[in-house]
Amino acid sequence: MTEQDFNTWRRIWRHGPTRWGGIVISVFLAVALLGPLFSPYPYDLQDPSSLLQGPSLRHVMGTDRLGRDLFSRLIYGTRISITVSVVTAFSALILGTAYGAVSGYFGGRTDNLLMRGVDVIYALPDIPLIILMTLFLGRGVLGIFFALTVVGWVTVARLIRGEVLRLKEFAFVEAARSLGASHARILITHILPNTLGVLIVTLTFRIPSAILAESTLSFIGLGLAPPAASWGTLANEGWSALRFYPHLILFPSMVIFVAMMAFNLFGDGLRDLLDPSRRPDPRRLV
Amino acid sequence: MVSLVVRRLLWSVPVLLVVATLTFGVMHAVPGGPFDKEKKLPPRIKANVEAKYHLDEPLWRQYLLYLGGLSRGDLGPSYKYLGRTVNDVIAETLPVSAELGALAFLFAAGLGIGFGFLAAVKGGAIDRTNILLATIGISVPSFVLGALLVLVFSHLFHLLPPALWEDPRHAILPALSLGLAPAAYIARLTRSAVLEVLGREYIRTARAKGISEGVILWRHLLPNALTPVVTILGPLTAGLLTGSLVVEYIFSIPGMGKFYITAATNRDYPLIIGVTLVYAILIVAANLAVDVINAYLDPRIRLE
Repeated sequence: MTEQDFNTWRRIWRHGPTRWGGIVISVFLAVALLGPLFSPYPYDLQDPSSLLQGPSLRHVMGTDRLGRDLFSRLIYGTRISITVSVVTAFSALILGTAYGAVSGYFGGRTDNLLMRGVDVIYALPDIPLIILMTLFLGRGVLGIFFALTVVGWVTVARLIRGEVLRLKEFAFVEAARSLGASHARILITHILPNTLGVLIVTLTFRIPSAILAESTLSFIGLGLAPPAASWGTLANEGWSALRFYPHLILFPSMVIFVAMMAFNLFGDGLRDLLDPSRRPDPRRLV
Repeated sequence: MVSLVVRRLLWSVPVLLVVATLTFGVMHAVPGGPFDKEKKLPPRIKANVEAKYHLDEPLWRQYLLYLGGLSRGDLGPSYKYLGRTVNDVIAETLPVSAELGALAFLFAAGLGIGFGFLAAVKGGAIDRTNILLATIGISVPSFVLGALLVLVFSHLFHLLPPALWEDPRHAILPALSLGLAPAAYIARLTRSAVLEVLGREYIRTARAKGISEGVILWRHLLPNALTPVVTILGPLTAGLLTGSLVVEYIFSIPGMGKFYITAATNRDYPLIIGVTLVYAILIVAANLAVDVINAYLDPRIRLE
């Protein structure tokens, strides 16, 4: 780690909201990775003798209508929701970066053509587009992952295109070209490393967008099919019992809120630090 | 200006055509047809039904038939709401969704611009509270907020109805659930835009000339600070459409979104394609409106 890296990390740590965001994110990642080890019950264990119980010592967050322990189900849901969101954010980032970089770098007619494709996806609202895709791809984890990627990469492509348009005018690109570097080499070793700050910030904001999209989709009953459970599926189950068993929706809602808040705080901090000119993504609005 | 509008309108035709084609393609590539039920239809009846909707013809003919209807503004029959066309369903549900969307939009724009402006001008504790509230606002999904509101205002205190769409009281909770996240987002954006403009030299020049604060506010500050805010109103409309889908589901509001969800589970192809197209038209129109308003606010854009 160079001294500059060290300084960056120190500035992140010194800024309260960013630090807390980071800590909470680490906890979520740890739960996603190791959670099932600490889960008090199997996530799908039905206990007919304790249906729809409120929080107690035996079941800290109560049980659902099949007598399943909500805390264990939330731990399992965390693994699914976090994995789907993180993987989706990464794949959208990679796809969007490649597309945006090529579009911005070659410019002209290539750019025009590629950006018209982006226009089409931009003319469709997120959730209906995701619904269409999941109808096509199925309601498994893979289908949702592909659908969220298809929606997510467009924003990234636009951002990176803008960055590349700006960067390619710099003298160091001219220098590399005059030394005979190929297009691929210029893009990969000279231009893209300079977009790293933007990329990292985009990644932190793609994750809460993905969490939001996935949980919304599952909440309206078009996401993951049971018995698999994500945060949204659990909230949906809670919704149907809202009136008399509010704990079933309060705990999943709280988890979703805390996770989104953590990623947003962390992303805001990183943006101020790495990319002060950027505004948040206006499509994260459900 | 006129040429900008005309060019954009012309460009929206191929975009919508591609949207229609993609949706059509996706719908017909999906395994399982609209008339596959748990209880199998007798083969003759199924063949009759499919012939009625031209489902027995080759795909390219179905596509051409669909496009033909589209060019006459006919979105076809609904497969599940027998005897009704997609046009009927949309004509019935779009006003409801539009009403909900407009309320949420007004709430979001009013609260967001007001708060963001106040935070930027006053600074200090108001600003910090505003930032905190705005971050909370964008972190609460509409369904979480909706559930919470129903729990508190309907079930706990019995103040407002938890569902349906009848008198104005039914609109309060849905509009709040739908509008809060956009409001928070607009507040953040307005705050940073106003702060940026306040630091500009032309504001200092105006003050130095002794122009009153009121004129500075209305003539110098607001038009410049609102440009980025107006720019996101396009994507915001997209966000409201997406959101209204969820909010209509939660509050059982008979709007377009609720029908869309049902159509998606029922494989009601024409209804899905039709509503998707309406969504796309609304978004294209919103983006066009944004460009026109921005050209009005900022003369530099007009010259391009």
